[in-house]
Order: sequence, then structure tokens, then C-alpha cells
Amino acid sequence: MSAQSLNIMLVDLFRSETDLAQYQKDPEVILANYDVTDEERTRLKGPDWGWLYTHGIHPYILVQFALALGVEIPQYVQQVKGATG
Amino acid sequence: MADIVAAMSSVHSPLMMSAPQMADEATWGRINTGFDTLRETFTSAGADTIVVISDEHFNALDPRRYPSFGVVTAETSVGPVENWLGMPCNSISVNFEPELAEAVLDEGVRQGFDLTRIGEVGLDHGFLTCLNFLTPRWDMSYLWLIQNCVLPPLPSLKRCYDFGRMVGQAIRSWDSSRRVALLGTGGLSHAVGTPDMGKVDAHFDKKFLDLLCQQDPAMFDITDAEIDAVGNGTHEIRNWIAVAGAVEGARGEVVMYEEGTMVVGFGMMQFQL
Repeated sequence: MSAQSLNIMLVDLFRSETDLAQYQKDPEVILANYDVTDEERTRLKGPDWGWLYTHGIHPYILVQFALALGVEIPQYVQQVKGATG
Repeated sequence: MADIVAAMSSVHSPLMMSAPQMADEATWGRINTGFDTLRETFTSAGADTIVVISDEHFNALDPRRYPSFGVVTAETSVGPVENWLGMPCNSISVNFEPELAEAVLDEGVRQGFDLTRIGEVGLDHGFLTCLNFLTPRWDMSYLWLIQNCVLPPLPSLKRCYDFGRMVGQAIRSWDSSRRVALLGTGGLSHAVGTPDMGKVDAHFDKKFLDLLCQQDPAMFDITDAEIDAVGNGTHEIRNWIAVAGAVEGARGEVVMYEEGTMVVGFGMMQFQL
């Protein structure tokens, strides 16, 4: 998928309580609706915030997706820092 | 005609609601005193309507459609839309002022602003956070004006000032007895979702606040590169600049500033009207 498509997918996901709950229960059910590559699937399921950040996900969208999943900000920032040196 | 009786700006760090433990008791004392000061200003001026100028963070708008300037025309809306903001989703309902929204649209288009009409919109932390402290009973009429501070290319700082000036003219020519307070939210220096999240630049913030309070046109010379250097979230100073434009000529005062609280350069200011 293009970075733009990934951005839109994450926005749609964190806006929908139902889809977000399903994603947290079994991400494959949600990801099956999108044309994600094997690598994107792996990085999303990680989740690998650093990889997603360096592959064009808008930082506002990425951090809000992390917050929606209950990730703590220090944990998120540590991964993004690690990926960017 | 309607009157502008108060004009102010504040940061809108969502962590005030989602993670209040990130500030200690003494800091919260200063934050609450700041909000008390702003509330006293618009309450004593008899405000009955609050116009919020803020960006939106991809909770209602998104990369597929994000105008440079948007006017929320709905009669009511609910929020928060974020599930992480420390309160149940859609537990707050606000009454908007569609008549004023239409007045802004009319005046804006007349002055050459290509504004976007936005209907019912989920309320995110850009709109909600400060009001949750300032009007916790949600007992005013509101209007939400959205500026793009998040998805480049962004409107220039001067364009945002001119947008605010137009908004001020629209309010003052609105055939209504309403007493309007303007509230810009967002900023000051901070980074959102980047490796620099948590860093602020107090030097930048104090320079900007000084220019803003003096209505110094040198504020328009701050470049996007300078803003990016102190954090992508800093682009939200556009909302403070728009408020300045609405009360062109009025001088401002800093109500409070704390370096690096809730991951932002934490400030509030108001204009003397």
C-alpha cells in the first residue's frame, strides 16, 4: 500500500470503536480488508512504531493510533527515536 | 450588532485530560490559575458565545479532505471522538451557533477566502480540551473555526492573521446582540508523534509571545522551517495569530508560561480589549 493508503487505513481504524476493538482482538480480521503487504502486516502487528514512522505515516496519525491502542507515549517515542538514530 | 468582548489563546495539550498525572500538584495549581484568569475575563465581560479557532487532528477531517480554513455549520456536535482522552467517547454535546457560522462564510467569501463548510463534526481535543476547563458545564453557544496546521502545505502566518481579521469583522457585523469571546488553541512549541516528542523551546515561545502581544508584524517572518525546528505541533501558533487578527490593534499579556509541561511549551495569553 502507499503511505497515503496506510494513513487512511489507520485514521479509519482509530475512529471506529468497533473496528478498533476487533483489531485489538484479532488484527488479521481487519487487515484482510486492506491491500497491505506482508511487511506492512508484520510491522503493524508488531507494532513497529519506528518502521511505520520512517515509512511515511503522518506522525499525528501514528501517535494517535498508538494512543488508541493504549500505548504509553514514552514507549512510542523510544521506538521512533530508535528508528531514526 | 454582536461584539467581541474577550480574545485569548491557550495550549490544548490532550494530556491535561488523558494523563493529568504528568504534571505535579504545584504545576496544576498554576495551570488552573491560568484557566481561572481566562474564565474570569470572558465571564466578567458577559460573553455568551465562544468562537474556538483550532486545527483538527484527523479525527473528523483526514488526509483525503482537509481544507485550509473550515467553518463548522452544525447546530450541535458531540465528542470527544478520541477513546484515549480520559472521558467516554461522545459524552459531551455542545450547541453551535450556525447563524454566526453562516455570517463568517458570507464575509469570508466576500473577502476572497475560499472557505469550506463543515457540517456535523466529531469534537476532538483541539476543540474540547481548553473548554473542558473553561466552561465545564458546556453552557455557552460555540462556533468552531478550523485552520490547517497539520497537513502541509499550510496557510501562511499572515494569511491566518488575515483570516482572523475577517472573522472579527464578520462577528462585529453580525446582526445579533451576542457577546463573543475568541479562543485560539494549540501550540506552543512541541512535537507530536516525532522522535522529538517531549522537547520544547522556551526561547522560541517567549519570542513568539512577545511579538504576538505587541501585534508586531515581525511574527509573520517566522518561517515554517523555524517552526519545524522546534516541533511539528508548533504550527498551531496559527490559531493564536488568527485571534490576534480578530482584535487587530489590541495589545496582549501572557497569563502563564511553563516550559515543558504536558510535552508542550505551556502557555496562555489574552488581549486587553
